[in-house]
Amino acid sequence: MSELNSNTASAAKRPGRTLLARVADASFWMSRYMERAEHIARILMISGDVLTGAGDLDRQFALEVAGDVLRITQRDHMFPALAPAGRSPLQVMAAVAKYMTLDEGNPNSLIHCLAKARENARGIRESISAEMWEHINTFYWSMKSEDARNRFEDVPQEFYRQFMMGSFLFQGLTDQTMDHGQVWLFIQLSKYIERVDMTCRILLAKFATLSRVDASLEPSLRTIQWMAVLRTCCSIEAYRRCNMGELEPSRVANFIIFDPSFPRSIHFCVKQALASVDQIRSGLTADAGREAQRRLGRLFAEVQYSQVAGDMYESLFDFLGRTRTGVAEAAAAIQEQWFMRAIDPNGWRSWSTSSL
Amino acid sequence: MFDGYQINGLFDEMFEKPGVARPHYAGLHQRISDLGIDAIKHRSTMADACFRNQGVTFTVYKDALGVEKIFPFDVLPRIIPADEWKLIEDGLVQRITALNLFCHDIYHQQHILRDKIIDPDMIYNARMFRRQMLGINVPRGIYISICGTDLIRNQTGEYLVLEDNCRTPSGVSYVLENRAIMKRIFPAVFQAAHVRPIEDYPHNLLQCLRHLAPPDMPDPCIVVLTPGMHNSAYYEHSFLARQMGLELVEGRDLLVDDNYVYMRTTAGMRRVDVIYRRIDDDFIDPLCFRPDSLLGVAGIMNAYRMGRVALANAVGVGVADDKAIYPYVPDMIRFYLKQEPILKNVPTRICAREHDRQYVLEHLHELVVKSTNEAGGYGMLMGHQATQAERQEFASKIKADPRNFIAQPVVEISQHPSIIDKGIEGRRIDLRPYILCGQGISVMPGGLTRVALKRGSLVVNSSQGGGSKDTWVLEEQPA
Repeated sequence: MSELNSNTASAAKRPGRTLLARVADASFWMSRYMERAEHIARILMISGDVLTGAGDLDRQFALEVAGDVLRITQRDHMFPALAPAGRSPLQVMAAVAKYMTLDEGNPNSLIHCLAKARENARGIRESISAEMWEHINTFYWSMKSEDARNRFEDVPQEFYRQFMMGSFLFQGLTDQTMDHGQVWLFIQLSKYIERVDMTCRILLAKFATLSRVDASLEPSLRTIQWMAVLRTCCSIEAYRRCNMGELEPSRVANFIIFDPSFPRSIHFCVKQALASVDQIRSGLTADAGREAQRRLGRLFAEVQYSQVAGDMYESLFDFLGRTRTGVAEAAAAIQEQWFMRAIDPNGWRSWSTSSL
Repeated sequence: MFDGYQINGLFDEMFEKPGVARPHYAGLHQRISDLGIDAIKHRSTMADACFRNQGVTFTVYKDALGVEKIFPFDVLPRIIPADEWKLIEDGLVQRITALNLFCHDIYHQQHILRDKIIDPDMIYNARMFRRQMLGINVPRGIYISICGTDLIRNQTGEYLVLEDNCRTPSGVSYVLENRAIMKRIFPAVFQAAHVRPIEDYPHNLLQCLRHLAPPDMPDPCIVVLTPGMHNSAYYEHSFLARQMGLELVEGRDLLVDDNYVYMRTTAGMRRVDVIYRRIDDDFIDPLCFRPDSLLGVAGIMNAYRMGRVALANAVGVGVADDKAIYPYVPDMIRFYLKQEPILKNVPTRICAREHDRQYVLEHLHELVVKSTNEAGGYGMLMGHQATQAERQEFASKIKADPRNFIAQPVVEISQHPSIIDKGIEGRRIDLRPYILCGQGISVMPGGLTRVALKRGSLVVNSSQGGGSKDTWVLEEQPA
């Protein structure tokens, strides 16, 4: 008994377990790749849906919709090869979908993201919960099988749904089965950083495409297209509740960017990322992470006090561009200061204060 | 369902003679016969799915496709009665005690060489002898904290030691996972058998590692050092770290400064006191051993020699499990402990000795020849199964480098019923129990029973298509 008591006492005093820099690094990327897969699956799902059910879309516009996912993930150089002359937009969509789903040579394909997430998880199995590992491993093997290829070719929409659910389930298990300590905080941090980045990319691509054709679309098609933007950002239901049937580009942008309480809005995600950094720093005595905190803090101030006004599109593109740069810089600062990929062996004493 | 089961003229673990199960197998035999082959196959499939989903895998080298493999699991458990286990346990305790004394002696006074029990050439030519360890005192004088000794049974059922794995024996994670699966898929059969538990192994291992920390340190930092996820036993490294609640580190996570070892954390550098290392000596410090190693930690040997970090097992223990030193273990037991060995060795010829070499070259067709520096069933000649050309090739290898070879008679090792395709057939097995040496010595009741799943094969190594089964050591029956 006495041993038991002394253990509990020392556990209460402990400031929280130190975390290997490599483990922080791998947990960050595991979570980031899971989040990325979810967004890509949703983009494919909505693009496919829009092209299938949207009547007589202008051919040029339809091809752009089919290619959106390539622009968003910076694979647009592949578009000519996937869309040779003479193919219908739906055929192009099918080729793009195949490339973005099961092509292991594509660094942004769903299967590649999942393989990377699993590889990172496999390197830190002892730091995540058994439930998380078993899920990510089972998920990986189920998507890697021959059967997965058949499922994809059979009903792609169902396949994307499974990918999204796999990612949701992962985040749910993370919340419910592991200690909300440092590893968990790094998982949250990277999830929100990736979400801000992907949301910016989606909005940039979709608004650019739609801004050119908005005036010429007939009303019902126009509604469907703006709904598709909201659906791609997983925001349609929440938007409807706040906007009572009004569907205007500026409202769509304002909701996805500035809504303070919706977990898919940029405002919300930046706030959460900043909160994660604050918490990680409060558990550590060292000075690391200050730069990441500063960058995210500035970004949050900007999101809090900005508005999209004047020439809507111009001001929007400008804002989204700055936000993307901001999170990229924050991510670079996290990498540099916490993951210690490169350190000067003579320099570390100046800021290291633990256990010496 | 055991109709047509062949005993093949071997020692069969389950059957005394065709159709008659040994007393300690009677209960199991009855229950699996009642279940029927289809139910057992169904549960076997369930077990495979569990292993795959949990990622209980090992990595096979030189295999481009699917490098992560499941260790094939045979659901029929091997049973060892209490009295047999007592003998094994006593024999293993005796053996690790002698091996630890031997390591200390070799790196200090070398009484065993002075008294001419072992030829000094045999030691100095051992590839794993580390002159860097001469005169160095290791924490608590314990060289081998964790040992995995391979046992086989011959045709009369006698247990023999095949080899001692004193460096980084692997496989214990499969023992624990096999047990967990068995309890899940055959709860009733397991419950009825009165099997001794093994689940406290990670706890005991942690106590062993703690024992190596400086005595005045209340909260030592203990880590498991792995070569990384491409190592064949990576799963096990991760498993043990998780079970003990320790950090799993790679060489790149550690650095040495002022002869102390630190790990890189998000809060800066943290001192490391004890390392359960699963990296061979050769790779542990590029400044001391192989300069091309990227897996180890530069400078760690100096920290170790100064006593500022403990390593388990100690550097240099490979000298004790060199295949050409193994034949001397019974002599070590007599020399250090003044006792007769409880477990016998397999009779072994040392090719470095003139008369042994002559005998080996003349009898290659009936011997198993092993390279002293290889493991995992590589670099081996099964003389009775080999072709004339293969035997000649080995003969010239032996002549060129006799120190590198030993030879043993073919031991017809025991067989055990295994689930094979549509039915049950006998397959050869061995046993690797795990021995921990800390404050006291403890032997895990059971161990890894490996199965040669290929018909007629004598080689049980996982790298050669072997599988494993759960090992049940029975509780002592109240008289």
